[in-house]
Amino acid sequence: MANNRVLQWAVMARTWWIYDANLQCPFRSSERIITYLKGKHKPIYHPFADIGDHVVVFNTRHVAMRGNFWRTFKHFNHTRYAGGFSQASAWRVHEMDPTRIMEKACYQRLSGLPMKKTLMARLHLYPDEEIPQEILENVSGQIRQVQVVPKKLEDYTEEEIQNFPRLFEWPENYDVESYQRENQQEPDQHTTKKWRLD
Amino acid sequence: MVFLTRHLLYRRFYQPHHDRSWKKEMQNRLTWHFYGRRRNCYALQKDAIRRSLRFATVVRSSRRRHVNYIFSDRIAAGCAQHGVQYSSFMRSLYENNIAIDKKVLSSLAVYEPRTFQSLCEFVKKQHTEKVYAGLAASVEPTPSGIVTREMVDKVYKS
Repeated sequence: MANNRVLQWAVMARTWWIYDANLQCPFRSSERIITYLKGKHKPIYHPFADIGDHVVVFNTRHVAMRGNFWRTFKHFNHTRYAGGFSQASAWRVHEMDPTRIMEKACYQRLSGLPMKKTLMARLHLYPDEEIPQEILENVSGQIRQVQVVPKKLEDYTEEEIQNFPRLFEWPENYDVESYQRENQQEPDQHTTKKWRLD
Repeated sequence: MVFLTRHLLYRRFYQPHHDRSWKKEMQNRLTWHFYGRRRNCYALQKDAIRRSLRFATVVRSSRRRHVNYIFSDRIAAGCAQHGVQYSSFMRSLYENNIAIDKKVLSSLAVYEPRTFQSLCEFVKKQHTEKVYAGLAASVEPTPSGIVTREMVDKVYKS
């Protein structure tokens, strides 16, 4: 075969992968993404070899966190000056920078590697579906999502909701609304400093 | 050492500090992979060698383990390309008495991908045959904390 000499190039080449973060857990997604960043999906993997791929992640604004994590999961920062500690809840960080949650999740999972800054430079994060053309034209593969994208309540029609089978009907005088918790923005404890990104 | 001419051999015995030249030889063998002047300068080599040999003693036990992890990662990557899980791959090879160790399997995954693919196909076929034979339960791991009467009988008979 004439192309025997170049068969390995597909292994050595830096391929580009795309990942849709729409309604995906950022922590489980990051675990899957960093295997591609580190090149762990290739049989020639070695922790010190620079064989990782590029990963393009879009829809990071629409990541979904489990349970109460938007309130309870904290991002920490210390400026290394006295009293420079600050922290912020995930929802607050997400408001400031919608790519920050995914970036930090990946960065923390790369801890202990000497090349983590190099690998992070190959992670391209976009908050929405708009990806620059020069990035998108490199992409040649898709990473499988970690969970099935659920259908939201607003996606169902009124008819489907009404026809959904019920075990029982609430009584007319039963008070549901007042038991629901108010959607309050919890303040970040233990710090008076304003959260800063860097 | 190989000396191409007699002149080159006798030069080692009649040059100044000829005894040390053999020691230099040995040190150069130990520092070929160092960076900077610690690689070539005799005086600077000495401390660096002591330090590296000390590290070599410490790492000796953990190095084999780390190499083994790399083998596992490479086999897992090779398996994933053909849609096979690492654990089921290794278990199927073990059950069918295919005695290839991890080192060879990982080098097969790198240098002989077609051979590795055929192993993966074999594992898949074994799996489907088991499922068709109604032995799907044997493929699945036994739930922990459950002891059946059959398991007890098996232990007594053996």
